[in-house]
Formats: sequence, C-alpha cells, structure tokens
Amino acid sequence: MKRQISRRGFVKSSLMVTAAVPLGMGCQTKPAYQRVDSVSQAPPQKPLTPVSAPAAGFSEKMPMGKMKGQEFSRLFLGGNLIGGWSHSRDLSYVSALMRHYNTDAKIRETLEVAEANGINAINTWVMQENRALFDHWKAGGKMKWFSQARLDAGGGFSQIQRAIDEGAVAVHLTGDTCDRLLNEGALEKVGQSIEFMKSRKCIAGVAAHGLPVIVECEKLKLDVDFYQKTFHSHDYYTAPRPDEKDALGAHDNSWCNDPQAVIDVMAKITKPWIAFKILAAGAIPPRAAFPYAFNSGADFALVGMFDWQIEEDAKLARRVVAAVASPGSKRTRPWYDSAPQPGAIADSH
Amino acid sequence: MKRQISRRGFVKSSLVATAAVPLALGSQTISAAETPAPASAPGAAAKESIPTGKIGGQEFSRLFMGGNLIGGYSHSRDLGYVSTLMRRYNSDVKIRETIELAEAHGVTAINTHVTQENSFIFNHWKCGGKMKWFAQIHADAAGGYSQIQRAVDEGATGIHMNGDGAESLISEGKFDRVAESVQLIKSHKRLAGVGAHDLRVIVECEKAKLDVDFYQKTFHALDYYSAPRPDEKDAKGAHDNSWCNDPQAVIDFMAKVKKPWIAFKILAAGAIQPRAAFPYAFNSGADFILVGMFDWQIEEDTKLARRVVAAVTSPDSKRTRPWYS
Repeated sequence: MKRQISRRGFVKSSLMVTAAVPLGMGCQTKPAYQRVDSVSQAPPQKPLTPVSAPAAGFSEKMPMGKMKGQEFSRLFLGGNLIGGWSHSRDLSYVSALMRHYNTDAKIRETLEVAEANGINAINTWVMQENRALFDHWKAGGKMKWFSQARLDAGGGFSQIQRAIDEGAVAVHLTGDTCDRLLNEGALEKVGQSIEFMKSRKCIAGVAAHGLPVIVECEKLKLDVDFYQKTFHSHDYYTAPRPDEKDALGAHDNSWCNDPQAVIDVMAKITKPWIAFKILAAGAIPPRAAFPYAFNSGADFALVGMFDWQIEEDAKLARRVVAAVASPGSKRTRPWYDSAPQPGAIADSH
Repeated sequence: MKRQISRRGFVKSSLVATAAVPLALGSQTISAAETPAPASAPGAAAKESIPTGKIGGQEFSRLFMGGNLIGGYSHSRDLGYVSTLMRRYNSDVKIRETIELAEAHGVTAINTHVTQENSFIFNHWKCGGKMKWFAQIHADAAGGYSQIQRAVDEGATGIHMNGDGAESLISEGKFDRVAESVQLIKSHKRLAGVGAHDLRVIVECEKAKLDVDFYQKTFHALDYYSAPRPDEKDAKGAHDNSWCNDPQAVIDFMAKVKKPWIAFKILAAGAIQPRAAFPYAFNSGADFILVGMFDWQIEEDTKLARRVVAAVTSPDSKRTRPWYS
C-alpha cells in the first residue's frame, strides 16, 4: 500500500522551492567536502537493559528502539546521498549525479517520504547543508536529527554546540575524527566531547570505522549513549582485495575490514549499536545487508536512501526486525535500548 | 566562458514543463512528446564548434554524444542503484536540455539504440535541432533486420550492429549476417558501421573486406581500480567493469585499418577521467570519440575535446595513425 505524504506544509513549501530552482539548472551547487563519521564515548551510566523485543511493525509502523528514553525507528535515514558523498569507488561522477538529483525540493520530499514510512531519525553532518531538515521541522515534521561533528582546528567543540543550537537530538564526533584521535593518542578528547554533549542534555555517541575506537572507549568506560559503528560483509566485487587490510578501503570501497571482529566485540557491549555503511555504500543489496546487520547484533541500521528506495527499504526493515525479534532468530546479542531515565531528554521537535 | 543555450523556445518550454511537474514527484513525468518545441534554431557557436571529421562524406564533430546515460545503462560495477539514479535524474525535460546543450557546444552526433526511448531526438528535430543520429541495432532473432528498417524510417544517419550483436553472431559462426547488415544499411543510403567490444569482430570484418563506412570499437586503458584483475581476460569484464581487454592490441590493429574509427567506452564507463581518456584515444588513433555525458559535463568535455584534438593534430603530436575521416 502506498503511503501518502500528507503534509500540506510540505506541499506548499515544495512548490515554492520548485519554482525557485533556476531553469535547466535544476540542481545543486553544494560544496563537496570530505565526509567523516563519528565516534564518542562515556562511562557506563546505568546498566543498559535489553528492553523488550522491538515492536515488530503492524502495518506500516516501524519497529522502534530507545536511546536515553527517546524512541527511534530501527531504520535511520543516512545523509550521505543527500550530501552527495557517494563513495562510489573510481566512479567519481556519481557524487555529482547525486547532488544534481537531490535538489532542495527532492531532499524535502525524501524526508517526508521517510517520515511517512515510519522513519523518525536522520543522521547528517552539522556542517553540510541541512536547510531541508530545518524546513521540514518548520512545516511540522518530526524527524529527529543525529548530527555528526568534528573538532575545531584548535580542538574546540563549536560544531557540537552548533548542532545542539540547531536542534540535534543526538551528536557524535565523526568516525574519522575518532579514528584520528585514537591514532594520535588523544582519545581523552573523545571523552571530553561526550561530557560536553551530556552537559547540554544531548544524547552523546561515538562513531568509528576502526574497531579499536570502540574497544578503547569501552576500556575507558566512557559514558556514551550509543555507538555508531560501520558494519558490512565483504561479499561484493569491489570489496578490498586480500592485501588491502586498512580499516577504511583505500578506494572508497570499504568501511569495515573485519566484520566478525565487530560482531564479537559488540556482543559484549551493552550500549545501543547503530550500524552504518551496512550496504558498503550501495554494493550490498538491502535484502542481504539488513538481516546481516540485525542478526549480527545491531540495534539500529543507518542507511542512505533515495526517495524511491524508502518504501521498499522500510518494508524490508519491518519484516527483518520482526523476524530477528522472533524466537527462532539467529540473533544472540540482546537488544540494547538504554532504559528511560528520570531526566530523559525531551523531544525538541 | 559559459555558452548560452540560445533556444528561447527551449527555455520557454522547459519552464512550462518544470511548472507542470507534479509536486513531490519532481522528476520524470513529462514525456518528451509533450514538451513544447524549441522555436529558433540552435545558436551553435562558430567560435566554439568542435573540430570535425568526415564519414562517408558527411561531417561530424570529433566528439559524439553517447546514449547510455540517457538510457540509464550505467555499467557501475556492483553499485546497482546508479542506473536507476541516472534514469530518475534524466527526466524527459532534462534529456531535451542535454541534447540542446550538446548541440550548442558543437556536438553534432548522438548514438543510441534504436529500440530505446528516442523521442527526445525526434522532438529535437521537430524543433529545428540538427543533431545526427547513429543508431545501434541487433539482428532479429528470426534472421531479419527489422531494427535497421526502423532506424532508417526514424531518421538515422548512421547505423551499426552493436557490439553484443556482432559478437554473438560471430561466436555462432554467423559472420555472414554482419556482412548482410552492412549491405542492407548501405542499400538504404545510410552510413554503415560495425560495433565491437571484441577486437576479433574488426579483424574478421577486415579479412572479409566488408565495405563498412566506420568501425565503432571500445578503447580504454586498464589503469583504474575496478578494472579486471589479472585472471579476468574476457573481452568484456564480468562485473560490468571493462570493455577493452587489450588496448595495445587495438592500437596495433587499428593502425592498419583505413576506415574511420569511432572509439567508445573510452572512460571505462566513468572510471577514467576525460583529461586522461581523450588524449589517450586520439593519440592512439581514434578518429572520433563517443562519450556519454550528463548535462553538467558537456561544457567542460567539449572544451577539452577542442584542446586535445588541436594538440593531437599539431606537428609534434604522438599520434601516428592518419586521420581516416
């Protein structure tokens, strides 16, 4: 059954945006910056209880999980396709094609379609163009924003502050930032970022491409509310070749060099795990990636989706989560939803 | 300097079309047939025209426009979503805009398969556009050539059996049918070519002294990450990743072939940058290059083609093959 995009506000504002797009240019002139993902950590607060099995979806409601007392759909919308970071190996034109396709109006439409299909959270970098999200909120939309942030050149947290000021529900340092800080022996900066976020009543996470980031955060008992860790198999043609072992593929082709190690480490971690890059940036079909992620222990999956992919992906997520939450499931890791707490962060939108 | 798309009519019709796009569906719903006509003739600029060559006495820009991006054939390795993204980006309106831009920048020929949606070309013509059409065809399963007839009827200037078609006939021992197709095309007074991924097709055509007007042969280097691995030797990559398994063999053989050579897949479907691929193709003997381009790539690619052809025709060029056109 098709879902309707029912917001009158969206229709009205989309119209204005469409009319404003210069003819024959129709598209996108956003700067292409490099993208990173995030990480953060913190000492385990209260024991994070595996909550009851996810609410397997009735009709079109997405199964939900909780972080810091707030409910989030098990399927998050990623921001890379919207920002034009295709990670398309040696096919460099694909990023430009994404930016040309995803006009402001199309991005608005994508958000609305995602929300209409039960997705209630999106992850983007605070420094990318997030106007469509803000317009979505102005028009009554409720999509929650997980914002990536990086450190200032001087090591400060202005991006975190900006994300909070602009309405992020959750923030995390990007994966490359955390990977770098770990390599530089400066992981305490990640801990400081967590404290900074929490002091502002923000859900605080840590993202990573490299598993050692998560391992070290756990050793330090950082008080993170969630981990966001890349996770995908290597079952695709452009996967790293046997001699390519880095955490990040050298050809924009891999973000998880040892998925079994991730499964093994995450099995022992009692914090919500948002798995990202589960499609290896488009090389692994959702029908393979979704079950693999949820069966392997992910609590949430963060997936970049074009407007036309959302309905099918949302349906698939409902089916997969229902199956994984059923008694015969292969999943052994409990669902780690942090328990609601007295001062649970209020929904800001 | 930016070139203007000088068709007032096109701009006007684009406007109408844009306004008519149903909200929240954005792209893709207006058929080209509904697109009002660009009124005036293309303002193709004398200054910025692309160097031309001749095939069968007719002039064509050295840079042809490919039809794969328009048709949504991305050949994007294991990134299956890219073809859909192409088709969604290239709305009917956008395709019209793309062909107008190409013409305004001096591109005079486009190559598409006769059975794909070509109404944008026909509408371009109706509105005064002059882009010439090279149509790919396959032989009918039953042995006929209805696609040749269709291409003729629909206005193709040049027609060729495509690489897949020629290769499968040769592998079935039916090379005579390739020859028949050339004769039939010529009987219709159209430029007759043969397309190939596999060099053996061209070799066989030359052995048989087929009276072709042009060859269209894939040509690209193998120095890109997603290129075939050492144990992958087929003429076409098994992962939608290669179309020329031995570029040096192509150079060596084409050096002896005295027919115009249109080199295609020179970017290996996007993996090789034009600034590397254009000089490599022309220096290696190609007379024309056939390149799929999105609207936003056309200006830069046409500028590059002008510069590269100028350099390759200069006295100190590396090119040794004569221009057969």
